[in-house]
Amino acid sequence: MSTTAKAARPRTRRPRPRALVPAVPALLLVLLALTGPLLAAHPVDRPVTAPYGEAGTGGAPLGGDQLGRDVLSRLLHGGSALIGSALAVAAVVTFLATLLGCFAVLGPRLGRLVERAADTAILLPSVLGIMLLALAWPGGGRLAVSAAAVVLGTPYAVRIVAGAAAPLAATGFVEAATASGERLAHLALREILPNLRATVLALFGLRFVDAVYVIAMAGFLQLGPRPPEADWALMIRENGPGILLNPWAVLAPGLAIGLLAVGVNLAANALAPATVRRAALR
Amino acid sequence: MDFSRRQALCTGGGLGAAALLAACGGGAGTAPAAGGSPRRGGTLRVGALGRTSAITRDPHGTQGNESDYLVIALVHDTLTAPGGKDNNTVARLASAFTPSKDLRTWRFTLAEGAAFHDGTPVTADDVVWSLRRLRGTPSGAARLPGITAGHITADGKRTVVLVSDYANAELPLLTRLSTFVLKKDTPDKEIPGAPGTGPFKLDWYRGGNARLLRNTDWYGGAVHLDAIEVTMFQSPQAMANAMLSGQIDVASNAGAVAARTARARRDVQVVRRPDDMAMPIVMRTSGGPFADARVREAMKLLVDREAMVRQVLSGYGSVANDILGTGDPAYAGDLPQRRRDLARAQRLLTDAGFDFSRTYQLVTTEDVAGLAESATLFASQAREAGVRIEVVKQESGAFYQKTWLKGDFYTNYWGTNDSVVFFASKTLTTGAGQNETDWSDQEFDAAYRKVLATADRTARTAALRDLQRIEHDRSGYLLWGMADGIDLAAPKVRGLPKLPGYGRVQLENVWLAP
Repeated sequence: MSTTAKAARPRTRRPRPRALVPAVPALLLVLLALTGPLLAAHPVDRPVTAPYGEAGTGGAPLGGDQLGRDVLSRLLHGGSALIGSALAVAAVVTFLATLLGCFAVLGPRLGRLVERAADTAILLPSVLGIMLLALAWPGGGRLAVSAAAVVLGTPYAVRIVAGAAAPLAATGFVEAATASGERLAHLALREILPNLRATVLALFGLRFVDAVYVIAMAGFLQLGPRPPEADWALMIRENGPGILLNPWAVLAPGLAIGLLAVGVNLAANALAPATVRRAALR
Repeated sequence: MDFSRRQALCTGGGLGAAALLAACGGGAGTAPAAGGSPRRGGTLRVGALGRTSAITRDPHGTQGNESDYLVIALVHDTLTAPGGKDNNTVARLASAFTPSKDLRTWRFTLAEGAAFHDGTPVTADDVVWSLRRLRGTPSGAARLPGITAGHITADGKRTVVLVSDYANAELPLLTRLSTFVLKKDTPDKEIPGAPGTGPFKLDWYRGGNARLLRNTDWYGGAVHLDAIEVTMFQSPQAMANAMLSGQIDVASNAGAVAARTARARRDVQVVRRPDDMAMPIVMRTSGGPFADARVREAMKLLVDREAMVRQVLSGYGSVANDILGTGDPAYAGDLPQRRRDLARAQRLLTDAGFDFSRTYQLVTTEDVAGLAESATLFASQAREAGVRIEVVKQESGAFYQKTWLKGDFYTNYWGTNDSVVFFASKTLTTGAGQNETDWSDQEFDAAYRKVLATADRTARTAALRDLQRIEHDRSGYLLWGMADGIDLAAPKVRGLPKLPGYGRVQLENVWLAP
């Protein structure tokens, strides 16, 4: 008994610091994006060099954008809003999905309703949904896109949580709690939810990446933020015509979005409890 | 990178196009040379902008596509054509135009030897029928202002008589734009292939792309090219890339960014046509926040014109002075240039009781390069004076439906910039068809009527100056600069038009060097 405990201990503890290493790039990137406005050398809306000026001219290390504004400064300014809204969307979606998912597996009627609604919503083309909402809510800007991302992301997430919670609902301890007359809320929140930590964390990571993509896509389609806002996706769109003159104006925000998505995904993977990873690998 | 791409195209000769080889033959390092005597022969491949959704084949329809206008203008002649700085109206299908003493009756004499592509001579009846058809279109009143259909008549075989409702010394100017001549009684369904009188005749047409052949019997002189192939491009970028890789010889209206991209290449000619396009910011004068002339003047003082030209147009343009029609020989260049004066602007705004706490929406579209950028830059310039402006981008269709002619504050562009009277008649006089600023100014109207009723050239120039002074002082147009028209061309292309606006379609003098 004691030997097994001794053997088991290092196995659960040792991987932790190493597991945190993949989370470093994402943390650094998020930190950089959040403190970016303080580090920017130029205001976001003042031209400092020629339109699509080459890197290094006029004190702009990454050159100028379509109006000659400093690409680096705009890059530093543009991240916080994107990351902020993606975080908010991911948190809301995960919260809603967890709540709905937990209750859905306990009540067959609610379960069926959630399932049907989710299936219908998953079948809806998401681009169309975003455009619909953004166009029906003129001036909604970022809020409209975020709302659309929540509405479109939740059904899929609910299915995942429900899928993970279904086996738990059939376990002995839930049955015992049901038998002892516990109410639905207690069953969902006290008995099932604590056992879903790993799923929820992994889900949060995935939802964040998805939200980044959705919000960036909306920005690219000019549905969300408006000029002169320094949004990464908008920067890609705006500076496309001058890609031969100053490729950095397009490459830099593109790389930033890519790094953010990959970094956060890695981090979520690393932070998820080991059991989930093992299960996924099996 | 460019070199290797060209190389790849040349060596990948499986395409086997002789034209492709010719484009490669130019080689790096041969500087474009002007001059030489025109040489007959060759096919010119021209790229022009257009969208499939906006295609029109009717010479009297609304030509939203540059490609359509180019094809139509090469096949069907107008009565008169844009000229240079000294004379902005020159003879075309009408070899002479003379007014009566009271300037109300104009007689247009048709050019000697003018004939349709099928050989039948052009008669006054054909022209009358065409002009009446043009007048009957939805925007006919704006295209031939002051001339009702009944006042377009023929006098004999070769003279067309137009009678204006009022004295109009500038009437021939109005016949430069869309007075395309068709054969009398051409049925509507035959319009797309109907013979014209122009320097080229249609060989084939497929969804925006066309091949045109030389009209050997053109009355206007010898045409050098054997043929012109027009290719429609959706975006200036795609067109410029096709030009740089040698798939076309001329990229028409490719824009400043393409010109700068091509600048590093010595084997590409960059043709700049000054005074080509006006990109004004329009302020509604009849209501809303800009109804007060002091507010409008303040806006005109807020803008940093040099910075706009430098940043929005990449320097391919010139600073303007809030008067539309900078290409006019009688343009009042002696009026003081308006410069940035934030202190004075703020004083004017305070006097006018301007609401600084509100955010004003400036509506724009991405129809032409630089338009949306101009709005964005103007908004950030205005912020320096405490005026909060939010840029709202609208899709082109929505913009013309909801904002154009109706909005308080929006960007606009005019690609026909060449005469002050043209803009006055179309956009500035009371009740004009396209009065974008909803401006009505008695003094301006009087000055306009005086210009039109004055036959003497010197007196008319003086009257024109008065008109421009009023426009400069209080109209709803903030015209910060003029964009150059920029065409890219292969070195072998000679004799390209240098005129602004619709002058760009005059390709009959183009020839190809060996």
